[in-house]
Amino acid sequence: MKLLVPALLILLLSISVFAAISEGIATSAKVPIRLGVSRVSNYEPRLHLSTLNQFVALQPTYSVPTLGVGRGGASNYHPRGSARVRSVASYGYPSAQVTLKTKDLPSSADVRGQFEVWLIDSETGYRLSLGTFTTQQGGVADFRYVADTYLNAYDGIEVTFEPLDDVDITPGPLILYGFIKPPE
Amino acid sequence: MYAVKLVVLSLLLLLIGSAFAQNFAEQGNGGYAGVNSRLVRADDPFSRYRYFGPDYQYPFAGYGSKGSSSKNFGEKGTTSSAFNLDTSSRTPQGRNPARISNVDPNFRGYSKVDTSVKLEPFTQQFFAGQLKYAQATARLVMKGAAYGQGTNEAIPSSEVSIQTKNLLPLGNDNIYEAWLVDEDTEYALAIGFLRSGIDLASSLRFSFSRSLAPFDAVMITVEPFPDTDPRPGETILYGSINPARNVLRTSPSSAPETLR
Repeated sequence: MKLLVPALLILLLSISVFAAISEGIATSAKVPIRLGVSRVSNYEPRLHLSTLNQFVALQPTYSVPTLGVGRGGASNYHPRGSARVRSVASYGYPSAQVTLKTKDLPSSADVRGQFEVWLIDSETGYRLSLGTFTTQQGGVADFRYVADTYLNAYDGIEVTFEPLDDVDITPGPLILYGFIKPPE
Repeated sequence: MYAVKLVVLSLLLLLIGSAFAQNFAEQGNGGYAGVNSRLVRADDPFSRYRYFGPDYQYPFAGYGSKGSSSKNFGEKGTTSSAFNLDTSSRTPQGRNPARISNVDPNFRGYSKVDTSVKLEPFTQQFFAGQLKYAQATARLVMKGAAYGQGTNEAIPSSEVSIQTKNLLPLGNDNIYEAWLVDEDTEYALAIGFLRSGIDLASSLRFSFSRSLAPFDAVMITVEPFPDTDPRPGETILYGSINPARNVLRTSPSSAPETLR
C-alpha cells in the first residue's frame, strides 16, 4: 500500500517520457527545420502580381497669387496633395487602396464645386474615376478608395474640378496631377 | 492502515470543499460582478427566469414609444406632419413595401437612390453539356449626393452589391470584372473583380465616395488576369438601371432623364 502512490506517479510520468522518445508519436520538437531551397512554403509566385505601393506628390496646375499680406514674397497658399497608391494580390485576389490628402485647394463652399480623383492609363487613355470629395476652408481633404482590383496599369493620378451637381462623367478642369512609377 | 486513513481524510476534505462550493454558488446570484455571478450567468443566462420565476410573462407594452431619429425609420415621430401614422414598426422591415415609415424621400434636399438591377446574359453558355443561364442582380444605394442640402451628408457615398449565378468558371487566366456604364459617353467605370463562391455563384460588394447619377447600366465582362489594359473586355452580363422613383435632385433640369 505504501508503494502504491509512488508507483502510480512513476507510471504516469513514464507515459509522457515514452511519448517523447518513441518514434511513432510526432511532437513539434521532432519536425525538422528546413531552410534554403528545401524550405516548404505555400507561397505561389505565379499568383502574385507585382506589388504597387508608392507615394505620389501631387502638383498644382495653377498658383494662387500673392494677396499682398505683410511684405509680400511667396504666396501663402500653395495647392498641393499627396497620394498613396497601393495594389497587392492576396490569396489570389487583388486588392487596391488609394488614399489622397490635399491642402490649400479652394473650398467647395466658395467655388460651388467638388473635386474628382482619377487614375490615368496613358497607354490606352483609360481614366478610372475613384470618387469625389469636397473641401472646407483650408482646402483640406482626406480621400480614400478601396476596391477588389489592381492598379498596376495606371501611371498617373489627377484631381479635377467638377460642379456640385455633377451628372456628367467627363472630367472637368485639371487641378492637381502626379505620376505613378511603373512597378518592377 | 495509514493508506486507509489517508483515503478517508481526503474524502472528508473533498466533502467539505464541495459543500463550500455549493454554498458559494447559491450565494452568487445576488450581484453582477464576481466569479460566482459570472458562473451563474454562464450556467443560466436567462436571468428573467431566475428573477421572476417560471410563470412570468413579459407584458405586452412599451410599443408606443415616440421620438424618431434619422436612423430609426420605423418610429412614429412627434414632429412628423406628413405621415402621422397610428402604428409604429418595431422590427426592421427591410425592403418590405408595406413597411410604415415617416421618411418621405421626396421632401426637398433628400437625395437617395436605392434600386435593383437585373443583369441579363448576352449569349447562351454551356457547361458540362448543360445550358447555363447566367444571371446577376445588382443593388445600387446612393446617399448624400447633394452638397449642403438639408439632411444630406456632405460626402456622397454609393454602394454596389452584385450577386451572380451560373457564370462559368474561367480558370486561372481570366476573371470576371464588374463595371458601371454611362451610355451617353460610352464610359465604363471598373468597380472590381467578382469573387467566386460555391456552385457557380460569385459576388462583389463595392462602396466608394461618388454619385451614381451619371451611370445608366451595370455590366460584367471577362478580363485576362493579370491585365495590362484597364478597358472593358468581352461583355457577359448587362443590365440597365431603371429610373429611380424616389430621387429628387435640387436642380432637376441638369439631371438626366432617368433620374428626374
